[in-house]
Amino acid sequence: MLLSLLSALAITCLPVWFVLHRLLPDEPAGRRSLVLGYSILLGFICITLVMRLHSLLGIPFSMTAIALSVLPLFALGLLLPGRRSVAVARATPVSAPTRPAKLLLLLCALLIAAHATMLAVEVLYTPVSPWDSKQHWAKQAKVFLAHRELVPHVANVWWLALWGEGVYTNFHPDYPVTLPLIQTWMGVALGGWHDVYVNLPWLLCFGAIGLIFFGQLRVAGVGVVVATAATYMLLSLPLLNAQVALAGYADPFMAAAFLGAFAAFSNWTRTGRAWQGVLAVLCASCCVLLKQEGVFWAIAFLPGLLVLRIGALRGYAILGAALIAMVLLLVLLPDTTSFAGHTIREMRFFYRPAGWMPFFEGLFVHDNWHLLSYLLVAALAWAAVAARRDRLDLAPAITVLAGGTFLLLLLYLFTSYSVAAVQHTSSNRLAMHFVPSWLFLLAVLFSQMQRPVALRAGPGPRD
Amino acid sequence: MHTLIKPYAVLVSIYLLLATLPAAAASRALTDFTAVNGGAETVAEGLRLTPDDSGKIYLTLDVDGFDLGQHTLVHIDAQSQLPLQYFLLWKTAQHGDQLFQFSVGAAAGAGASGDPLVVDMAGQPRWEGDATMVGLGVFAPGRRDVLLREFAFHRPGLLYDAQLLLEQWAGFLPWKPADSNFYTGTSGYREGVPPVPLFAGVLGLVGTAYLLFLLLRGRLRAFDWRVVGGLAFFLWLCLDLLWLHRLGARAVDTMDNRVGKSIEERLLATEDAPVVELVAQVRPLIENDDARVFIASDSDFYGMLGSYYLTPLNTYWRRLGPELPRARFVRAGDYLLLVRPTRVAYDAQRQVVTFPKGVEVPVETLHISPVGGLLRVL
Repeated sequence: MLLSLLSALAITCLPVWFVLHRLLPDEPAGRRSLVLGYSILLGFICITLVMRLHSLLGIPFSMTAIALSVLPLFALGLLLPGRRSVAVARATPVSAPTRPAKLLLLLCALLIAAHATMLAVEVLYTPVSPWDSKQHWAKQAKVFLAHRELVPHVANVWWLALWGEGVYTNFHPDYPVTLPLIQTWMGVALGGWHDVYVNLPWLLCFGAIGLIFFGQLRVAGVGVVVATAATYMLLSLPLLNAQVALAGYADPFMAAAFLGAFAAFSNWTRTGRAWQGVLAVLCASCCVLLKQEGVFWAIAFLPGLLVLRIGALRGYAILGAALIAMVLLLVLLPDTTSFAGHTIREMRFFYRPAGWMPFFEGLFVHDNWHLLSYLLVAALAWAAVAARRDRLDLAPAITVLAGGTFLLLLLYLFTSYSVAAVQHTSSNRLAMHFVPSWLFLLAVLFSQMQRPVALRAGPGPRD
Repeated sequence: MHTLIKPYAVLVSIYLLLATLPAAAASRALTDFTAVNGGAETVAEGLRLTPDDSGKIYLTLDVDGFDLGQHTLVHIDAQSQLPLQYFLLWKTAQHGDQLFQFSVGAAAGAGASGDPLVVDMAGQPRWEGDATMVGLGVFAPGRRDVLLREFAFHRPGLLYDAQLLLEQWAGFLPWKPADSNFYTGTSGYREGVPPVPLFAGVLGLVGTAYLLFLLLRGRLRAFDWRVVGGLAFFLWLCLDLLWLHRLGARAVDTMDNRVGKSIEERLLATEDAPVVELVAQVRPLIENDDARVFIASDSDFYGMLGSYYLTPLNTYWRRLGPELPRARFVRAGDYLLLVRPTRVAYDAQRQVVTFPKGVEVPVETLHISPVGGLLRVL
């Protein structure tokens, strides 16, 4: 069983690792972390795409068939230019970490290890438990595994009309199949459904989030001490830990995908490196594949691109006009118009102030995110003041996060999903999609706060 | 850098002191108590008490120099299958052999299985002076065994409140489904004092004090973000240690309950157990892997479980709606899995199930148990 799992892991990550290893230049900081982190995330998504292709071609899911299908990725990697050094101008000399800094690094490493160990215990011994997992995600995975192919799932009413011939049903038949396919892949590797080990990808996702976060912070010019401390802060978040321990929801993967896209986008807007743009596009696409709201999260990058293109002032003016146009559209379009699987009638658009308090509680009162919300508010306040004094090139990235957060608030304050906020059943899980990116922004802002004013534009020295 | 570390070191020391200080109590080990009526056996979690024929157990302990007036908060943590009633017993040096008794009745919240109880004896008659004997009487209906986890006397005050707070913030809580959706930082939703606003308040106060200090000394330019960042990190670390303590206790609990067990044994130890068992019993009775199975339950949770554990069979389960569809959608050879509680009208004698609109469909009973049953449509 262990050998099968290791083989599955190798099939999942190695091909993508090779491609990224060839794609990324020889950056001195964060490279290994980046390559490994993105390999895990993109590897799992890639495997599900291969499985979809197999299903389309009538090839039953199997380790051998899938392994052979990912081989072309190695060929793709060979076509890429390969590692090359990029000269990096250092604004200030790099100094070795001081003794207190080394102690802090050790402390953070130990704490991260402690969190990871406890979560590993939960994942390795706890059967599938979350409601949503049993209601649709894992349930669908069991069907795919039994049939060794994708099987259509329809709403109850259609299942009855079709007498269940060739179709299955669950509570959310229109949800993307990426997550069930990840669990199906584990089942294929194990030779059958295993109520515990199908959750292993969640532990790997946890690792991927940390690796991507650390690597991109280092590329952004954040020092190793701040990057490590910020990575520990991210991996210590209680709700993220709970989502890994009670594995089965799609939200940790969405958080990883959005972080992968956002961090790459942020660094791309500041450095112009093409490989960052590629990573941003790939990960934003992953958002669409994971959950229905991923479409909106991917769309949130467009305002950031607009601001990058035409500048903050003009960009925000256009976005304001677009917002007014969106409101008019919602008012004028027929109720049956559908967005990401939900019609306007289903969403029942009107202002629901009852959603504010649960949101406030979730961010500022409960311990979902420790002190993150308070620190972010303070950092953004500083950023707003500092922008007047010196150029801050984070405007596009801040716009993306603001857009995503705006869409999140729209969902819970203006649609029928506000009941999920009031009952605290999904609002925090969806906020988690943005939390690693919020913390990324916070770490970059903090790093900028420490630097002298003249050096604030662009990534700073690496140490 | 060392001048920055010193205040943090002081705060860390205070934190560790609070966390490691023994409970401000004249508590004794449970094993020091003697069972006067009934029996007491030491187990890993505490004392397993066996009531006498009248359902009572008395534990007593001779003490010396124990001031009742100072220790007015009594903690009782016991568990049994049925509600319990407690009696506090004591003798004092001032009253010789006279035995005093205080009944902790139902009004005080006594007895809900597994709920810890805090009894405030301040102002109670005779709860004063130097105790020579203290004891606990337990009345267990049905003479069921009782697991006593804690019986301790606490001194009210700041230290007690602080330790209660710490217990709320870091005490063991088993995993529950809602943990996927939010974590309050306390022992439950809208219970206790949430730690995050407190810690944020401390951060705000100390940060403001630092700023004012520099302002008053005319050294605002010396403001160093690393000071504020370091403080924020330290407070984050404190919050995380509380969470880590809880996470660690949960990991230990998981290992205690699951290591060395098969998947089936682990599933049978969860709240899914009734449906897991039911499905294990009925699955062999479904002959055809292509069979359609209609899951009927008035409980969303059990209906969902029935559908999940029977998968990859082709199951129909409707959440938030009629348990069964109209009879015209059902045909011979289909199966009905009833999972209690259910409102489906099943006549075992006539072997019919009544579908919506009063349509009766003949069925064959394949399995019936207290949890549910499997029927085949004829």
